[in-house]
Amino acid sequence: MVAYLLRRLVSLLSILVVVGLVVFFLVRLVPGDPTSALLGENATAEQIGALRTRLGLDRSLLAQFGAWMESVARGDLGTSIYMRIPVVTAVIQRIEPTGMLALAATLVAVLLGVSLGVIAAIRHNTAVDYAVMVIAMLGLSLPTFWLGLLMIMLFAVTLQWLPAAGYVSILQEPVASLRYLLMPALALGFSQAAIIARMTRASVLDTLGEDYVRTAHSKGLAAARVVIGHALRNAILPIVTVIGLSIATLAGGVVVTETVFNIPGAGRLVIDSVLRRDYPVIQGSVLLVAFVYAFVNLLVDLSYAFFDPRVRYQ
Amino acid sequence: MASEIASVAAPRRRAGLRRLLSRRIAVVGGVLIVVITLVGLAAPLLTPYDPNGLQISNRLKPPSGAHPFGTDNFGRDVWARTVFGTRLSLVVGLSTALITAVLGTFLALLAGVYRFLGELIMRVMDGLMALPATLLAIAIMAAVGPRVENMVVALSLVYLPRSTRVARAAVLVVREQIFVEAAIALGAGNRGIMRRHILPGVLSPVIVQATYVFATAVLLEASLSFLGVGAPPEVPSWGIMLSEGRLLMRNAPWMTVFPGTLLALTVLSVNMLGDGLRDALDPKTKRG
Amino acid sequence: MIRLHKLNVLVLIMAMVATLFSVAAAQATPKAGGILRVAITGDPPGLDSTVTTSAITAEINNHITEMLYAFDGDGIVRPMLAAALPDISADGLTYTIRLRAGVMFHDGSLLDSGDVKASLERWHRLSYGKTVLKNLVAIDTPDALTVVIRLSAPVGILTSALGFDNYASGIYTSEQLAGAGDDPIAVPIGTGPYRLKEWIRGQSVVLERFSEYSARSEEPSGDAGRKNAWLDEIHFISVPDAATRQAGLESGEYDVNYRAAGEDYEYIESSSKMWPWMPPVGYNYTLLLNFNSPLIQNLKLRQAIQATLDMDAIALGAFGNEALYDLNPGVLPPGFGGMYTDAGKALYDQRNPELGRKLLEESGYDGTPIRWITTRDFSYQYAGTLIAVDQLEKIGLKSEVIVRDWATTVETRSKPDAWEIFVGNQISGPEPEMIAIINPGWVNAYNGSPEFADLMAELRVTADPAKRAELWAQAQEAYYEDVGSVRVSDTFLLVAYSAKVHVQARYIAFQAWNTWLE
Repeated sequence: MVAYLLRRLVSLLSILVVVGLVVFFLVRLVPGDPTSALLGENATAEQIGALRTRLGLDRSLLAQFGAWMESVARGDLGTSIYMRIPVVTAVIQRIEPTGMLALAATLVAVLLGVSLGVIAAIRHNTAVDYAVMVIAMLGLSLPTFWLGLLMIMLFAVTLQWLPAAGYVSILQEPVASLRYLLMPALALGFSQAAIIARMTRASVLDTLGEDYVRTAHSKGLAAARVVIGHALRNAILPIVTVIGLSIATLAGGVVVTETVFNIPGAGRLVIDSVLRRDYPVIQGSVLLVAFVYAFVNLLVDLSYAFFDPRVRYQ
Repeated sequence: MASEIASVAAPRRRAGLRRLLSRRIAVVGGVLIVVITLVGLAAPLLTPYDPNGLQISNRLKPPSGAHPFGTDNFGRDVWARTVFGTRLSLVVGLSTALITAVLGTFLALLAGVYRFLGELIMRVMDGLMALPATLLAIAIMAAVGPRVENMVVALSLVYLPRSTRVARAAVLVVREQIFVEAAIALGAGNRGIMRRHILPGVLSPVIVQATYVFATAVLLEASLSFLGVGAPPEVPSWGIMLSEGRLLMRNAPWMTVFPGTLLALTVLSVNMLGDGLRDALDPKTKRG
Repeated sequence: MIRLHKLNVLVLIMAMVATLFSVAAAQATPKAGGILRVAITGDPPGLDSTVTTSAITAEINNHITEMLYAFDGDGIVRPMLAAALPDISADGLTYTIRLRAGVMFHDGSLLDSGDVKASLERWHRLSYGKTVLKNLVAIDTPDALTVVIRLSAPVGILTSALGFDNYASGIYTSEQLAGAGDDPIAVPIGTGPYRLKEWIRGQSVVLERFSEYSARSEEPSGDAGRKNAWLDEIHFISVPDAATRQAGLESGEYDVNYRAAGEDYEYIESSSKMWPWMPPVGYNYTLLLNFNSPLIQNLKLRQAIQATLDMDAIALGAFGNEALYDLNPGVLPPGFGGMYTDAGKALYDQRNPELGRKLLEESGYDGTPIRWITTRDFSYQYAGTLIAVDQLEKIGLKSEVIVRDWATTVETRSKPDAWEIFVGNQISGPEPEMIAIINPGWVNAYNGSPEFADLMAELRVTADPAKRAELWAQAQEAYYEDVGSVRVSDTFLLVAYSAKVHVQARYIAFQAWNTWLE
């Protein structure tokens, strides 16, 4: 187990190197440079040239890559070209909104998904099953940005129950913060809930079909304990996989949701930086995100062993 | 709770009905997909309008006899664009699902059987997955330009690691099950183990995942359009229609309602097909 | 004849009403206090408008810094930090500018000629000043409140350039300029009615009232005159998504949607919760031509495009409502300054596809596709491109539309051999020398037929208004004959206000002074 963990940590480092290489050259493959965002529409050719020189963009790619790798090795992710603040500061400023959104959405997704899935499985092939699964599938079938806009139109513009957009720090105003979070978390969590519901239903059905559940039932255990004790425990492995995957998909949804609900989060930071060609921010934040992903994946893999003793690690 | 137990226990006399029902879901989903595919193929016969034909004097007209779905901000016929838009969604969704399912399963099986290669593959997949999906897709699209082939490649790269992980999780479980260990003990070759024992156990989650990829690829295409890197202008796309109509939701709701509904319906029927197929393919359901 | 479009008429009427009954505006007695939340399109690239042409930067910076001069609502240049218009020597080579006494910067120091000298020298080194002050000899400071600009050759528009907010000559303290050098100033310290309180990158720029502000006494008009800082704070909140901006205005999250969609114009106008405002000077919406391309170098082909297009269809499709554009041939906007002319109008908005087809045949066009570069990041660029392409395909002109994101489009546009046409909003202004697309230096500037180039060269050293107007009319005529670009229309920005916001003076560039909340 310890050897396995060590090996995984070493490979985590190798992932970061690969990601760094890929992202550095991928963003430079994309045409355009940061001067267009910085200087505006009516800049003169001379001014653009001067700024490129000042930013070091006229050096060779290899020289730029070398300089970047060197500073990363020193623990310095660089400074944003557009915002003129350290990349680490920029990312840290954006972590809270994204973290809160992802957490709230995952919570919505798991609560909604697992309960819908279990209900559907227990009521397998009844009207309830179909109704629940159609609701779940509907969540999976609507574009997040469209759902978000419909919710804004209804709950913010027409009914005026909730704020249309924005973010308030949970540390400063907890109640207001939750009001701002509710719609985005629902919009984002709904689609994730559908995936979890489908997996839960499928897995619970699988487990319910297995002989030992029947055995347990024939031994006369209480019905509820059969379902919860055996079925859910064995169904949890694929569900955890899906939640792990959902966190990855969430990152994609987060970008769109942050845009629609105007949440100043890390997803928006990355997209804005791509549009502005703010290379240090793209590279630095992707490296950080890659680290988080790799770490979460490691946790998911480890949780296999925790939830299912049949899986062993060498 | 008594009735739950009744269905949990699954008496034999209801098994036939259940199979039929599960097939019926697949059938309904499948029929819908076929109908939608036919609509896409027969698009030129279903409308007299060119989906890209501009008529500014006729912009933002509500649904009428001449334009059953109304017209958009360029005066284009929304019905024509909606039926032609079917093509892009199906092509993008289907290609991405097929590519990721086949490649993902193959990689997962390799990873499941050859341990060193497996580590390598999964590290590469982890690396790919560590790049945020939307960013990856946007960067690729911005670098290579908005062409349909590029979009399929970008989306496949986004979903491949996910498909591989799902297949691998299944391989891990199946491999550790006693009958495989027994087969190894009995000296069966790697290829034989893979074909006879692991592949069938992996198929079900892979198919569920493939339908999920199909559905989300169609949706991600829409999201990419929303974020500004969508289909090329000459290709009618539901995603583009939604992102263009989004700003006019109050003035011209028909611009988003119709393509949005068809998009949701397509994704929904793919999901129904997937769920039905899952039940039908599951060996335990058949056995029951 | 100058054709005033209905907005300018509206402005005139309002100006008259304001002068005649300014105090009698019974329903509205301005009240101090409150926070104005303005939803803007994105995080500005900086707050120093000397080193960028970004509109958002200029519009925020206008609250913080001031220039020596400013434009009023009619496009006439008025003194701001200067006490009066400059004394210009008879040979046009010496400008003597007196400063107002007792003007305080946000850091408590008083404005003096040293600050102005340092600011103008930086503007000369890094900004639009490089073009305008090409013939600068020296800037002298004979005393604390007098600045003398000495030139080696006359400059046509020096005074108005010192009040132009694109690549602006804002006045900063000499201390912060010494600290910043050639880098952008991160925290601008100016003399304006508001000062920077906080800038949370990617979220909001917060300005607060500068209570020591020294206002002028003249009636407010445009950027000129008295500036009343009624509001306690102005929050410029970055909201990139247009639908979210409008929804946030309606739900009360924001008080101003700084860029509303044209399609919402009628809805905003008819709603009792909101009201629309369109500054009377917007942009010059035009088909920019790449003269490096052999296709574009063909005059007949350019004329074919010019003859064919229906500008009303293009502008309507691009901006969504007739109120947001004005079809006139003037490269400079009507009703703003004295330079508008309709010279060349016979060649503007011809809507004559038959003539276009004939010209295209005469051009010897061989069917090579015209490459249009555009982006969906700005819907009006994309929409105008599609409509123009559609109209031109009907006369047999083949097209390839290259859709990329904005940064890529800008880079593509700077490559001489990568494109033929770009449809977009170009900056508009009161003087021809302020229009980037017809002045050398800009990346894609039209250098013109020899006739046009000569007229512009003469214009640049001519200060007499009547003579300038005459030269410019000839230049615009030459511009149309040579098809320097294919002009579509003037276009206006739509600002949507919550009903509880009152604006005392109609402005050109977004401003929140002389604005108060109920």
